[in-house]
Amino acid sequence: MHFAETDLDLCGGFGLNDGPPMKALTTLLSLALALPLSAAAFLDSPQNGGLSLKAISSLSFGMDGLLLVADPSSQSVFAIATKDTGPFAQPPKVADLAGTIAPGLGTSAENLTVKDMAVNPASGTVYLAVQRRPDNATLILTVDGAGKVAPLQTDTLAWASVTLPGGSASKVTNITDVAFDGDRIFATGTCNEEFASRIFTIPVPIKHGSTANVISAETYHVAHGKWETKAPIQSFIPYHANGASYVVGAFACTPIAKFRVDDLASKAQVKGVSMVELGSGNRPLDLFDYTDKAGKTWLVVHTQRFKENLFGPSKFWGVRVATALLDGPAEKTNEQALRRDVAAKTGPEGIEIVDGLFGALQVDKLDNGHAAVLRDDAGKLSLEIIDLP
Amino acid sequence: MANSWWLVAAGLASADPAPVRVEVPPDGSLVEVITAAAVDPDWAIFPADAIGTALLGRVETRRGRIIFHPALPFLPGQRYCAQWQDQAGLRRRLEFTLPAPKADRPSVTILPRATLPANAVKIYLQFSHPMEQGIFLDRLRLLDSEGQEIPGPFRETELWSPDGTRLTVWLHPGRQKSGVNLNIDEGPVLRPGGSQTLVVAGSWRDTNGLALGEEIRFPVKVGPVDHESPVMSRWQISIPRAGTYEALTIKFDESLDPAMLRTTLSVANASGEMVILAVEASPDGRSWSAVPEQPWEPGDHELWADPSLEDLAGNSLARPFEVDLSAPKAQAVARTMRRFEVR
Repeated sequence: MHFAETDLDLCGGFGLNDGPPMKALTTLLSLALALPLSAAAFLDSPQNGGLSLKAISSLSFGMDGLLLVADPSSQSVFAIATKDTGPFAQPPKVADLAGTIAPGLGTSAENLTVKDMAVNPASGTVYLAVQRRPDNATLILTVDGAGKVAPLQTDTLAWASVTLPGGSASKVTNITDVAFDGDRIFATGTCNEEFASRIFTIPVPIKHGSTANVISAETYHVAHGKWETKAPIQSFIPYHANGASYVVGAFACTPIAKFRVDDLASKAQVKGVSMVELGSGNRPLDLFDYTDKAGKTWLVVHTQRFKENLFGPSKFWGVRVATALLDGPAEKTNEQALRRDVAAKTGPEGIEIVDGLFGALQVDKLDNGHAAVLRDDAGKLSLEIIDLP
Repeated sequence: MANSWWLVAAGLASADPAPVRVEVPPDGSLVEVITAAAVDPDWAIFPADAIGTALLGRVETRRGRIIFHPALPFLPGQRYCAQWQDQAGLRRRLEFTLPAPKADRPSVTILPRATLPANAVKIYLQFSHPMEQGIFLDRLRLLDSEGQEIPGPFRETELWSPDGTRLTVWLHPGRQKSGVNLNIDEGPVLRPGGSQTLVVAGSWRDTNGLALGEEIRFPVKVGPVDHESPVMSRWQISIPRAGTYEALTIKFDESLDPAMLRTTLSVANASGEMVILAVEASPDGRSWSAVPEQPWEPGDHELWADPSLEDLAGNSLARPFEVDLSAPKAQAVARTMRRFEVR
């Protein structure tokens, strides 16, 4: 390590009469934020400060500003009481987000990857998991209702971490998704060496230093009623219908499947039931549900096509699926599941393209009328809020 | 702090600026400026080639010290410019650079080094150093026998080992799995009897910023499909002699996943205690050997295999990768233990 003695000319630009240089963004979540409400109550034996996240694969929010972070490097889920509990404010559009934040992270936009995005439903603030190349350093950035971009400052926040269990029956090296479901948290994990997923649960309150429970040792997918193979879950949401609890997940290939999760013995094998097929060549990325103005509930599936899109302007696109389709009869599942025509702009009934999701790299629900979208805008990332249909 | 450095920073309006000491730990997690003159930090650090937007971070001021915690660590080899205001109201500045670590260029090998079944689902790239992530699809190509690029051959999910040196490259399961949409529409990635080439771009950097250098090509030979589970009873076990540190060696009748072999086989002694072993798997996945920490005890031993252990087509001891539900269900419970006697 060395330092160079320098003078003004080497750095250029500043003089005595200059205004103060742009200050590092040291005040993070606004001071106007309310005092912590009940998010800390979700934590058992929490830590205060000293939080270090080596890698982030998924972000998700629970209630009252409870942020869930999946760290695959430690095979752990972190729960952070952010104190970000409102008031709610919709963020404005932030054009060229990566270009805006890159200098502040000591790099250029092409060396940044947004690994995941989540909206805090309590405040509307958007949280971004950002990774820098080549050192793979990771942090969480927030975009608040004023459009201010700042690192999440964790020094004074309470948090707890839970490890996903090791061992050959449940080994996990990547955590694909994590979600809050009231009295428990779900996480899905995959192993580098196996094409399969495991579903884990973490009881709430989240006890720091504890180990998650395995409720599904393996997940399967049945293709065309003949071939049954392991298949990993890419993304999921908790789902409740007719008194039963499910995880509704998007497989790494096309189906949307549901797994019943309320009557399982630990480490049981669970076979997903395919309810909807989005058609060949699609890779679901994110899911969320919402209720439209008419009171009808929908599952939004954000997706990437592997090849040219025949029905829209981008390989990144999305649909909304009437949740009633998730409750269909057994004879409408697996090989008989409702299937979308990959060449068609519309149909079948109950599956509708959401035009605002074309070009979206990351998506999350803002409220029942809006979604936050991180969009590829002519090669630059822009954060914007779209209306949900 | 492991290293510290004394600097004299030139003030803008003073020919005799106060001395300044600056320290940065090797991990670049913070910079500490120690100067009696610092009372008002008014502090900012810029990449020296991008003056205008300050680094994001947190400033901590103590008596005679300014400590800046950047949101992400300082990068080795990059020049930074720190600016602040001293006690006399003078704007101060200095530049510093974290030296790039002295390290060799990264290198890479492929696993398994064996003929792949046409329905193989994964290969591994083992790097010598942790590599930059998020760009693997831009750094890998698969060429067919004529040297033409095969479109969409890989699963987009990026899976690294915890130490960041081994990448699991999934051959697109949607194309490799029978009866799945892409398999029907576009056919499998690998063709039996074919000879593909995996091309790794030389621009791929390790986490220190050093690139592989030259493009690297790995020939990939392809054999017939394999839809059957490995069978433990077919393995040939070479039993070591009691009282020695000889290796217990197993030769398989087919290539097994060389990465999984490192963690999925274990040995118990006659008392049921696990024998602590140093394990090696051959790069072609055809053999496995293990040396005990203590000399082998005479008597019965048990070789245990985790049912998840797979061959190169993803067929595990427990079940084939693909199960034909229309076929008669005659599959027996997989055997995952064999006894052997050490004499």
